[in-house]
Amino acid sequence: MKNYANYWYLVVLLIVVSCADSLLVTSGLTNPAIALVIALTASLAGWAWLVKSIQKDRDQIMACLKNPELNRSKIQHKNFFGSLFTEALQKIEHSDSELLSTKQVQTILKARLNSLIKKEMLRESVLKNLDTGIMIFDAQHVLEFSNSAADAFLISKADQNETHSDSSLSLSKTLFNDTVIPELSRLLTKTIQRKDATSCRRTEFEFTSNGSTNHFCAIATNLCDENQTALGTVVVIENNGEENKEKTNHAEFVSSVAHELKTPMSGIKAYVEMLIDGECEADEAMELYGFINEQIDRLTRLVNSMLNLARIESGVVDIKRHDYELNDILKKAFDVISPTAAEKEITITTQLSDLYLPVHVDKDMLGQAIINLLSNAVKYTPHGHEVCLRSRMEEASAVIEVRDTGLGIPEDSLPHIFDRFYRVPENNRSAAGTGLGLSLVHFIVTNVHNGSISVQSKVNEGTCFAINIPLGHKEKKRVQQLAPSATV
Amino acid sequence: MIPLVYVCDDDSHIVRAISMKLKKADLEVECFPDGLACWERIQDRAPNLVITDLQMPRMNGLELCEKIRDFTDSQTIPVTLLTGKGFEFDHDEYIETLKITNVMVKPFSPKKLLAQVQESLNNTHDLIG
Repeated sequence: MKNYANYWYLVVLLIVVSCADSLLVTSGLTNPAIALVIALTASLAGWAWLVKSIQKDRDQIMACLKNPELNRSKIQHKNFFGSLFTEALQKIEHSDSELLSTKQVQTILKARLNSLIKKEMLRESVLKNLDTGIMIFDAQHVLEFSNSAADAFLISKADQNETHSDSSLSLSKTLFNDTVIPELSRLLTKTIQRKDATSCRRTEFEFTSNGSTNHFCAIATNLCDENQTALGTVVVIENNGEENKEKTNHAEFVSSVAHELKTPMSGIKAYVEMLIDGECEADEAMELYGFINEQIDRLTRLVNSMLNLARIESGVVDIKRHDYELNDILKKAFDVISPTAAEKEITITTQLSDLYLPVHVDKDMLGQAIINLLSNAVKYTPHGHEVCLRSRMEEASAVIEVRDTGLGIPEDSLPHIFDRFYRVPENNRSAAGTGLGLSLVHFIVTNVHNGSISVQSKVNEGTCFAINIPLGHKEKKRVQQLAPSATV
Repeated sequence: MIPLVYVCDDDSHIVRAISMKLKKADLEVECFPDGLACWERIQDRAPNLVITDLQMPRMNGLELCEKIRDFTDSQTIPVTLLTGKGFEFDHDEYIETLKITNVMVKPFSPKKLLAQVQESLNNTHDLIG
């Protein structure tokens, strides 16, 4: 009501003047003409004051619009248009702030979009420039993305008219057949069709491009969102090259070790389960405890030999070379293997030199090498055949020979026989092994004892390994050299 | 008639454990140290089921299974394959191509093996019936 106060005063004044005017006329103190003049004068004066007041309010608002820092609350309370003006101002300010926030959001979104585009470009650039081939298929099995490294494995559109149904799995995903080479097509189909078994599958294949053949490894992985809805499949293709050979050998070695470990573990688990279930009589149970004990010993031996191998090859084990007579070491190795040979009804003999063969060796390591050779000879020699351990002197060397009349080694395998993890494919099934025994023998003979090792073999006739070790004791020489100086 | 099961593994302890378990379940069991010995016996007398190891000398489990599937008298016999191999052995592929009934990864539970053997024998019996 404050801002309308001036106008109420005016109304009250006009009412008062009208009432006074009427009173004067009624009481006869003045005539009506004068009363009319008084009323008109009062009305004009009031009107003039009203116009002036409105003008003043308008000027005040204009001043406030020009200078927003002026006290608006004063206007709000004292100006006729104050509340209207304040309300309008508030609405304008609110709109301004909304506009500002919209602009800010727009700026933020633009910045994020730019950032995402940059990241996307970066990722795409990385994927495109990778040496590893990448193919991404969407949930409908349509090729969504492939980089240049993967292009070689895609069938060109011109070739897509030709038939590529090389799969033996009666592919339902014919799209893959039209898009990629058969090996990858098979991999993709298996990965998708058997996704319940595993979400990831791998395959290895050879691929010839521009006249050169390379070995590749491809891994296909099903992609899912958090609700396990299929998003597609990604295939990663790597050129394995020479590295692959080592990796494959290593994987085969690990697999072989795992197999060797799992076999005694299976026996132990089976026996323990039967004992827990109380399925055995007391004497039977005692027998099973004995078997379990044997299997644990077997596991221990296996683990120890693995550790020994790793330690010898990595140089962790101290080499303790001393003077020995070679035949003493050979006899001990012979004694270790004899029971195994007897079990297999193999005739194992020694033909040791009558001469004293002085050597400066680590007797445990050299002994292990001879045991490995004899053990191999027994493993790969059929029942009723022969194994012979010989020693002789040859110029400045002691020669050790392990000869058998066993399966023999094919000629193409001979150059690889001392390679780590190598196993003769033809004899692979005849006995379990890790493919490390001969490489350890080679290491012990050549690296530890400065000797040499050679092999001669004929399939179905037998094999002969010959080790040459430098002759001579070294410790005695030192004593002799030290002795005169000590007496002086 | 008591079902006849052939157990084939080059590890004598595994053979013994399986044999004990199956005999206690009133099954007739014959054991072999390799695939070849088992295959020779199958040609004389076909069993109701074969349990074989994968890696064995002379003839491995897959070769034995191929022989079983190629031989008229034994091509429908259920075969359970024991293996120490993990992911590098494609179970699905061999189950499909050689119609191997079950694959058990070592170390395995004799109890589970017996359950699978009995299920396979029942299925075979149902099919014949």
